[in-house]
Amino acid sequence: MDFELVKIKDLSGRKASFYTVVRDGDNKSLFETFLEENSITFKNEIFDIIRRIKTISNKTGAMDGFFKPNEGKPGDGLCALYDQPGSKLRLYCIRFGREIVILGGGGPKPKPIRALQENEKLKSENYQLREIAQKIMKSQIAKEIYFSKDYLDFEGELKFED
Amino acid sequence: MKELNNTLLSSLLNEIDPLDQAKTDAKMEIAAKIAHAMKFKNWKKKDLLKAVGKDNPSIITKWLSGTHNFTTDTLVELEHALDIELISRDKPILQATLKFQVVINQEGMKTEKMSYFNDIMTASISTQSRTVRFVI
Repeated sequence: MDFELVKIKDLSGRKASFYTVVRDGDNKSLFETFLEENSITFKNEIFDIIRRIKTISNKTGAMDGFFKPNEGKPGDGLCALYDQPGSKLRLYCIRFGREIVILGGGGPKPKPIRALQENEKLKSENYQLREIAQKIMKSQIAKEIYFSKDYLDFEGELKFED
Repeated sequence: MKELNNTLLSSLLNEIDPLDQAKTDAKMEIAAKIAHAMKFKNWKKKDLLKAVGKDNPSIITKWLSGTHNFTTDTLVELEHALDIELISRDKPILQATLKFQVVINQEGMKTEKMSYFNDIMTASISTQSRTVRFVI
C-alpha cells in the first residue's frame, strides 16, 4: 500500500501535531473518512474526540494515559484514543512521544465485543494502520523520515511507496 | 509539507461549544497534572492506588485517561496523596466592578490635567455623567 502523511493544521497546536494518512488513489484521508462515516450517527462522540484532540494539541500534549495502548504489534505505537464512558466509537492512532499523533480510521465499537477481531470494520481499520505503522518504523530506521528539532513535525520523505 | 484542509472538520470545529471545550480541557489537564506528579515521585499506578487506599487498578487508568469526571472528594484525596493542588481555592478575583459617584464641579474641571486620574476621567466621562464604571 502506498500512502502519504499529511498534517492536519486545524488540529495541531503548540503542544502536539496531528497527522493523518492519504492512501494512494484516495481523495480523502483516513481521518476524513472516519469523520464522514460517523459525524451524523455519532455526532456527540465525534465532538468529544475533536475536543480531546484540541486539548492535546493546545494544552497537554499526547500523554500516555490518554491513549489505550497495545492495539497493534509491540513497539509500533498503535493505540486508540480513550473516549468518554459509554462512547460507541473507536479511533485508532499511532503515537510518537507526546508531540505527534497520526490519526487513522476506526468505527462503531459494539460493547459486547472483547477483541477487535470480532468486528470486521474495526479489524480492517486496525490492520491497515498496523501496516502503515510498520512502514513508518522501517522508514525511521532508514532515516528517510525523522522529527523536526522541536519534535512537532515529521521531516524527510512523507510519501511511502512499496 | 502537505496539509489537510477539510470543510467537514472546519464546520465541526466551528460548532464546538467553548464551555464543553473548557470541560474537556479541565478533565484532561487534571489527568496530566496527576501523571506529572506521579512521574515526579517516580510512582507507578500501584503506588498511587496504595496511597489513595483503593483496590481496583483500573480506576487509575480511568483517572489518567482524561475522561473521568472527578468528584471533589477524589480530587482532595489525590491532592493529599500527591502533594499537589488540583482545585484552586485561593484564586483571587481578577475582575471587579466598582461603582461610585463622581461630582464634577467647576473647581475640579480646572484641575483636570493635574493628574493621571483626571486624564482618565476627562477621557471617559462628560460633565453630564454621574456614574463611572471602572474595571480593574
